[in-house]
Amino acid sequence: MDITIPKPDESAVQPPKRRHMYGCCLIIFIFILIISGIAFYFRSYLAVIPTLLQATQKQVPRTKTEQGLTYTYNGPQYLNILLLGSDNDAKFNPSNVLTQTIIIVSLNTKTNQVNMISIPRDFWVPIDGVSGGYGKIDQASGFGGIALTRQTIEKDFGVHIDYYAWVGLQGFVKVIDTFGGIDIDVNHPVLDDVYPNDISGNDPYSAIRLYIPAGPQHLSGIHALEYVRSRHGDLQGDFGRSARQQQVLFQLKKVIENSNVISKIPQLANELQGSVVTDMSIIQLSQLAPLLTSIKTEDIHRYILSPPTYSSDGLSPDGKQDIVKPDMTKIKVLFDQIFTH
Amino acid sequence: MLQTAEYTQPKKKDSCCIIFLIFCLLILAVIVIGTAKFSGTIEKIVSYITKQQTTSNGNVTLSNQVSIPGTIYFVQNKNLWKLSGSTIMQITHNGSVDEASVSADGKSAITTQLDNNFGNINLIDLTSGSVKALTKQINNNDLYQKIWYVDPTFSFDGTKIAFISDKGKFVSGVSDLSVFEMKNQLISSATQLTHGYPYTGGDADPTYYPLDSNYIVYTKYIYALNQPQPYAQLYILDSKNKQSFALTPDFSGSLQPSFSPDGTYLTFTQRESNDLVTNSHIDVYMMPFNLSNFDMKDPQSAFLQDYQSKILVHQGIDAMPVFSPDGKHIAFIDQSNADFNIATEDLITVTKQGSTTIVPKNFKLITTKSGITSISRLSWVE
Repeated sequence: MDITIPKPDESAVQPPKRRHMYGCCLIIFIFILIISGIAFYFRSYLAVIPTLLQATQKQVPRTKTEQGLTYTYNGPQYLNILLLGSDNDAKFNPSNVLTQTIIIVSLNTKTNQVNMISIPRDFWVPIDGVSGGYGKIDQASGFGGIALTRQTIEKDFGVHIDYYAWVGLQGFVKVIDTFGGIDIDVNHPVLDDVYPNDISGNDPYSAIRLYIPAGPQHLSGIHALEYVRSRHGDLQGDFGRSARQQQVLFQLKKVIENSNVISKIPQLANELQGSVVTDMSIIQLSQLAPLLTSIKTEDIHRYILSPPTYSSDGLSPDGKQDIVKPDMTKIKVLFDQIFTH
Repeated sequence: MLQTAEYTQPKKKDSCCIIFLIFCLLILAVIVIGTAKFSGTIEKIVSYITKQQTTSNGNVTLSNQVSIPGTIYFVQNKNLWKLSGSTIMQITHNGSVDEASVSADGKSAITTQLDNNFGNINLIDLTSGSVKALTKQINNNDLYQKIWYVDPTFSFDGTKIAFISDKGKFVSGVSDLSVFEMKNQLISSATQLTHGYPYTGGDADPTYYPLDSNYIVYTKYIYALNQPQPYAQLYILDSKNKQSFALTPDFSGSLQPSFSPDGTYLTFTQRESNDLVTNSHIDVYMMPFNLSNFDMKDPQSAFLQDYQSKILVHQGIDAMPVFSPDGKHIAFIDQSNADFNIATEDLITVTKQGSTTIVPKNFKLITTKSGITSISRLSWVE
């Protein structure tokens, strides 16, 4: 006699509740796997973030003077970053370096327009705490570090600085090299008989002769530094190199746009210790980077506060120093134009 | 039994399904984990496949199925290379060549070796491979006795070498055009022919008129009033009386000239704008050249009245154009994707409404991913 066992109902085999539980488990499982996968991939980057933070982060508290300042140019739509560059070679006390490159980068977050304003290092401006009350603007960092430089710019020009970023000679070289160098069109041959030999030589006061042929070419970090730093072969001296610095910044922007920045983080963390510092957090940098790289070249406006338009050459009151006297009336007109659009 | 089996089968199906799902998830996880890591591998695979379609020698890679008439000499990674037909060959291996120019007969190369403080000129016999130092500065502390000898080029008959030097200069930022006479691989003392303007970088890019080595075309850098950067402009020099005349208009931004073999045309590059940051084009141009303008009452006016340039290549950033020995092609260094490579264009003569004109056709990238040295000129010989 055949014994017939009825075909089981599928729903009877797996009750709905259990199926639901399986589904949940699966989703959790998928989620865990994905997170694990991402974590595994980024493990090398996660590991270097503390190093990177330690290497590049330096908060500079606002001075009492800054806290009491009222700013002419401080709209909520403007994000103003102060870029500083220094010759931090053996000639200088590491905590007392001059800032030979001073650029205010102002991003209008409403219009996505960027203004870059290069301030000549020899600008003769009021600096708090300096004997006589005036000095060259590049000396402010020597007297009071980044805080006094920031305060001097804010006080003298009325513009609020949100963040700063400082780079030394080696930092500049390393950043360029990390991105594989940059392509630059050298506008005219650069011949400089007294280029400072302070990066690799034993005597930081010695000089070398420099020759960079004209035309488009690929520059490594050290050659890019020579290009932005040389000033004796240029009729405009310091102002000429300000223009070259802006050119290199633009090219670096292009390089960063076309490269995988994330993959460079471990290398940057290892190499930039002490040679690049900023008060921007990693999160702020990561928010800013895509914003800046998305801005079109034609939306970046460049200014150099050089003679004859915005300043004039002159001597310090004691007649001992060549200085650049800012024309604050004309500079105000420029700043009004920049910060009211 | 069958029915029992029928009863237990759904359980198996269910567990299989879960195992399958887990398997899928593992695959998914592997993809997530390795996407970027494997992208490198994928690139390698693509690169491997691509390499199957190219001919590679060291760090210079030739594009697929490319062949050129004659031989192009170029510098890459401080060494001299040549491309003949579709064969690449590295000529020097000691990393001492920063710039090179090859004689019209293809027998000799004149090269520069740049140090921190000076540049020397060397002569390479391309048949035997022997190298002879024509200038012999050594590395010592006597900084102010050092000289830049750079950018040398042969006259078409190989008896003269024009070069750029800052000899005798006491200010930075200037160099002049000078010439060595050469006989039996020995050079005369230098004769200075031009005076560059201070703080412009001076004069650059000398190239000989092929039919008469008394005439040299070169780039002069000149400041315009209230302009922050000097402009490049082409000049022609009559070396007999050291007279120079502008060949291109003021502030044209033209540089890196090179003659067609018959001397009837010049090719050169020109910046679309002199702005350091916004300029995105350095284009290849050509213009007719007429030496008889020197015989006119006012040679300067004659040359500029004759000026009619034509753009040949408007790709982006290009450098160092040179005609082929038959004048039917040009080669130049093309910058794209953060790399410098050799490219060519065929030059076609078109007759339209009774007038003939030369037009470029068939842009070909000759090398790929090769990092060609763009500050050294190309030499194209038979």
